[in-house]
Amino acid sequence: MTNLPPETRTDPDDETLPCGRLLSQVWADWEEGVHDDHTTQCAHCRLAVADLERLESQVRALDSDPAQQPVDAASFIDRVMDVVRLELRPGRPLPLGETDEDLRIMENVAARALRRAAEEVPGVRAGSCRLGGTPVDVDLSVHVPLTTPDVQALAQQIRDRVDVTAHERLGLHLGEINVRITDLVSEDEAAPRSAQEGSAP
Amino acid sequence: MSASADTMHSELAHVVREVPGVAFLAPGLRSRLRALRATSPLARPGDDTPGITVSAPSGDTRTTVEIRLICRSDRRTLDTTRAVREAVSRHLATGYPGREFRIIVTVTGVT
Repeated sequence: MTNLPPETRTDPDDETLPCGRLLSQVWADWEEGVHDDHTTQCAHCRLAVADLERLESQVRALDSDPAQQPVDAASFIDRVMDVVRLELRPGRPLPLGETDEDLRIMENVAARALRRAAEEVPGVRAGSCRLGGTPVDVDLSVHVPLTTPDVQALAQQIRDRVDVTAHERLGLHLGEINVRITDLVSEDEAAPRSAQEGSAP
Repeated sequence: MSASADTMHSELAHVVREVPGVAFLAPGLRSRLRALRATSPLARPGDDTPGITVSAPSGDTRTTVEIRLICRSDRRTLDTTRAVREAVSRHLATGYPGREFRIIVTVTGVT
């Protein structure tokens, strides 16, 4: 994982709640029975805990369902967490087309397409991709080859590729496309994408 | 869910699935979790139209219909969502004359 931008070295899906707390920490505290004044009073933390309680009740219901077959617990938990990321943490809805059309795409879905677009530029590895605002601004972290002769030109190439994909494949109007180059890597460090995480937003 | 709401869900699900570019309606959390362990992908009661929500927000004379779907990657996502909205709008205008609807289409995946 050493080749990934900093945001992806721990948990690329981790999320900071509007109150400033990490979602993972709020959930961990709840599981361990740790309470403080903030968690008790904060609407964002309470909502995050409610999501987790909802998930737990779903999983318990599955355990008591005779139609299910026994499975390996560790792999089952991994798969449950994949679903959690998709269902409980899909990011924000972003406007597709004109804002008054009531057409939306979830942030993680759009981010995945834009990260893939950036990686169509040879040697580029995309890390985190955050989207928000109207029109939608993009903050994209990338690793680029150490041998890149003109980093500015490469960043522009990435911007162009992201913009074309957003417009032609998704139909998303973008505002600013901020490309942050977080590392220069040698060719042998650039591992194939398939060896790394695959579901980061 | 009342019988008429049930009917509307089923009708809309059929309309949406017929639109080119639609892969499938978004499965709900319950059906997604169940699918992780199910011995067969047989549908269960209440699982058939998880990607469609019909509600009547207070203060709004319109009924809100939200469609959550997964699109195919071989078509522009915006074009698919516009086609879905038009198909749903046409169906509602014909089947429920005199009622006003707000139609929201949300893409939760591209495959």
